[in-house]
Amino acid sequence: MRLASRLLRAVVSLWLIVTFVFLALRLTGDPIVATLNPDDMTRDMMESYRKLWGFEGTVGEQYMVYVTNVLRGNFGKSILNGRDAFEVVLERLPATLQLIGSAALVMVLIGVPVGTLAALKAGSKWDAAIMSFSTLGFAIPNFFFGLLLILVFSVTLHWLPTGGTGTIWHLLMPVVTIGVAKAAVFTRFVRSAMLDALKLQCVTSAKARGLSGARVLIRHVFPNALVPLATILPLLVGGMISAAAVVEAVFAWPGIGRLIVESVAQRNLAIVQVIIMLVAAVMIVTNLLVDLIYSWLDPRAAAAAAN
Amino acid sequence: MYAVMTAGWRATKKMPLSVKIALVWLLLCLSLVGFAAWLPIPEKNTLNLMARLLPPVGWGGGLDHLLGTDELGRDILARLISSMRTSLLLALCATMISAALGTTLGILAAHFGGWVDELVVGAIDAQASLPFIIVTLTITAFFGSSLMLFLIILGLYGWERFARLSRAMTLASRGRGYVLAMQTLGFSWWRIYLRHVLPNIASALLVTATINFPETILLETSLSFLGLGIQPPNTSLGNMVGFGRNYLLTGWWMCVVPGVTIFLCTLAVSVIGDWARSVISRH
Repeated sequence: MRLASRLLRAVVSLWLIVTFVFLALRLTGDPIVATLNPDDMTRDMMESYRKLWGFEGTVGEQYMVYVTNVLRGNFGKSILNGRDAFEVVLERLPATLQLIGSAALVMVLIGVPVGTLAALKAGSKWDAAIMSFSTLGFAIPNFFFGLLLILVFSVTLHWLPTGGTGTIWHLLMPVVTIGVAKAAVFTRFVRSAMLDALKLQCVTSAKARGLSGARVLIRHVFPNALVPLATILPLLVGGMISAAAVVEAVFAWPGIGRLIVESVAQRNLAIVQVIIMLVAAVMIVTNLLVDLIYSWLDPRAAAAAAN
Repeated sequence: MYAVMTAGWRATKKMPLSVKIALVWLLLCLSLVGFAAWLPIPEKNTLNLMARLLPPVGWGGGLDHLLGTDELGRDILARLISSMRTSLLLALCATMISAALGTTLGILAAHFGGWVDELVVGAIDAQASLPFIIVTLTITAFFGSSLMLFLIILGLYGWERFARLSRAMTLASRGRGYVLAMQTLGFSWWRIYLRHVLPNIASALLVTATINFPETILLETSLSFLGLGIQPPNTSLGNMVGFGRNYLLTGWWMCVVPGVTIFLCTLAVSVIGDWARSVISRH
């Protein structure tokens, strides 16, 4: 029952996004002029496209055609080369997933141990130093951090390629740029989640029963810290997508982030609308997942919400 | 007034060193921006092809151009000051817009409740879950780039934080004695909110602004870096880094100088914000 209502909400959110994109496209003026280059084609060609994409008749009719097309995966064609916009975006997906996936790994590998250390030694010099580094990592702009890495490791030391793709060495700098920046944020969340979990009665009682420190940490502290950490998953996914848009441009990484930046500069609206809908879909699914994970991790909260 | 000043003075004495340094840096930036016209530095658009790509002082440069020159021989310090003005002013205006918008919506949601509340809370959730830079890029693609639109977009960033906070605090204040007293005396709601509730939540809103402000700088400079924010001939710290990027080999300072400036400005505001939050939570 709860799952059904969640699914319904996700579908409604998706439908709202599609409607927003449709309205925004209508507000830009003639969508045919906006998505195609009118200098390159005759009036007849534009009329045939108008018919093909359903930009005829009243706004209501156009909306119906638009929604049907979206449901069929037909988002129009790239103005650059006339290729199917959805295909162009799908092609770029693996590169971005590789980048974000590796960066997420770096984030977790740094964030979990470092955040745990800060929480266990709360108030100490270790804690203060870790929090200071976290503030530094938050304040440095992604694009500048990336350029500094290029300056040091490519321009000065000639160790790594400045950009592009192909080998694992190409992946290294973009992954570090995103992973370290996100680790700075994630460490803070891990620290505060761990601090809250350390205060729980079950942890005190486990210690009192004489369980070893490591056992208390793994069996009692970590599982409880997972609950608040799960709720920030959408925030992290959104942050990764934002960072990818900027960092892919810095390192000429052939993913979706660079595609959207290029497409915006060219005003290639067919591509841009596919990407915004894809990102929205990813965020909606992530939120749905978090709801499910949350009720699985913490049945008490789920029961409270159901009542 | 006197009490406020002495309290302020006592607070500066207890300030950690990092906060003092952050304040000094921000004051330096603001005075550079404010007094740029009277400083003995070249005009920012003066070309000097005889003095192209000069390094900063300390890396072989002369005192004529403290932070070096760019590929057209323009003084980087002069361009930096002009860019700082753009970036700081934009972030300040945008933060004020988002604070005003968010606080108003939050108070309205708390006051009216019902479907108004649900609508505002829904909008807060939607805004919080979308990666804002992607939304910004989409709006720019649809409507083109202009300074006014850019400011409005930046102003829409982060309003949900202010809304969430003011909604929660307004709801909490309703049961408080002073609000009940005011209600009993027959004051109008808007007067109670404006004159009594708002001053009570002002410090928390200010701390939220110190989180929003650096993030707005990062958003603006990122977009300007990508060439989709502030456009030439206007300069922002972000598009300076963007242009400097093409000269990493021959003039690294062209991108490092503005980059470090962004970093120090966001860092300074974050450090001050962290400290202010800890002071407020102690009270």
